[in-house]
Amino acid sequence: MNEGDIDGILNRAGAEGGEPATDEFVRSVLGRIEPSLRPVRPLWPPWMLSCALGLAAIVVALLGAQFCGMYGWEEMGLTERVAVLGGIAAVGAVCCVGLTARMIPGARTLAGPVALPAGAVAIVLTVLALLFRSYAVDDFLENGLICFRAGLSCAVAMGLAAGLVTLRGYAVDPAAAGAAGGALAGLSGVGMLALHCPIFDLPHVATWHVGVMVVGAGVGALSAVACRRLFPV
Amino acid sequence: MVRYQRGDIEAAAALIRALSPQLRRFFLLETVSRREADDLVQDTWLRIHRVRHTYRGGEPLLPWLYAIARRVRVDHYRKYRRGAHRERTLDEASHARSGPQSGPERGWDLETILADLPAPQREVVQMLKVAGMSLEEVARATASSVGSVKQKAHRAYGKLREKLTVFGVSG
Repeated sequence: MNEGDIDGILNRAGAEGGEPATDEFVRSVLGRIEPSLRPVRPLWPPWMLSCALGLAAIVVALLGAQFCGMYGWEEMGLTERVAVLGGIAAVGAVCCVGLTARMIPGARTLAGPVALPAGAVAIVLTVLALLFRSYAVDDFLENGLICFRAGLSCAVAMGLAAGLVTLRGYAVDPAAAGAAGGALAGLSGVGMLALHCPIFDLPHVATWHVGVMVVGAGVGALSAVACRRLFPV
Repeated sequence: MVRYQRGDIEAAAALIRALSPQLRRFFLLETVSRREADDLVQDTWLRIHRVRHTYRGGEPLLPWLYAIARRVRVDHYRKYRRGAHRERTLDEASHARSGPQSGPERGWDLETILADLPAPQREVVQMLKVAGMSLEEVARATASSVGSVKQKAHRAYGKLREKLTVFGVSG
């Protein structure tokens, strides 16, 4: 029996059955939707949603860095500025597109629910590891917690902004959407810290700066699931 | 669908008539009770109604529709606990999947043929064969890659070949 034979059997079985919807059923469904049937404005095109998310991430990071002080930007050389901020921007663009895809049912997704945030974290870590070769751990905890708090504050602000942009979307997989959104929010925090923090020790940036992304992705996923359970569609 | 988004009730009715049969079969592959399947189809339409603004005109409708239907199914199983008992009415039990002696004589329905497949493979075959979706559309509906869909379909066909050969069903 070859695939063509199986196709034939399936096609015949698929063509049979499939009872048509009864008038009663159609009336029942229409009765429930008619009270709220009115014209709706379709969602923005995916590219517009992605651009809005990217713009929000940049604005939040810049405002946060301005507020805390642009010490990191002043300390970085040209190569580091281009590599770090370029890398963050590129990963951020992927996260924006990934989050937008998760808000539209049946849209093409760039990567699986774990692969996108995990890949984003891995790429940022790799860029930082290639650029920053100092392994000092002076005042690791004290300085780290300062950065971690500042980065998380920025991530929370970006998370709220991302929520506003994607509010009208519908995530068929809220955990995946939350993880992508949380990673993007965390990345905004990483961007802010890159501009603000003058410490370029790899243990510090890998743990406390990138840690903002990891926590962001996790909290994003949990928040999205909790919101869906509290406010089911 | 675009007319439905504009508030056209006739368009909504036409969509419900056209797509409910395949949605019903989609749920029947997972549930035994026809009443449960009808409830799930109705829940799907209510959810489609609430999120109809997320459909973009010009894009294929079926991936969007099935992505929502899959979510309805997940929510249903989480609500009633995954793997909970399946209820059959006496009437449905009398039409239950039959053994090899009577299957080929009475004709095999899709649910019987696909019954032994794992859920992901069953779902892919249903979308490809009943809904007539392309590999790309199935990949979008299931949030997976075309390669993954092909792999599931290939494995499903392998299992179906064994089953249909054992039961002497010819193509």
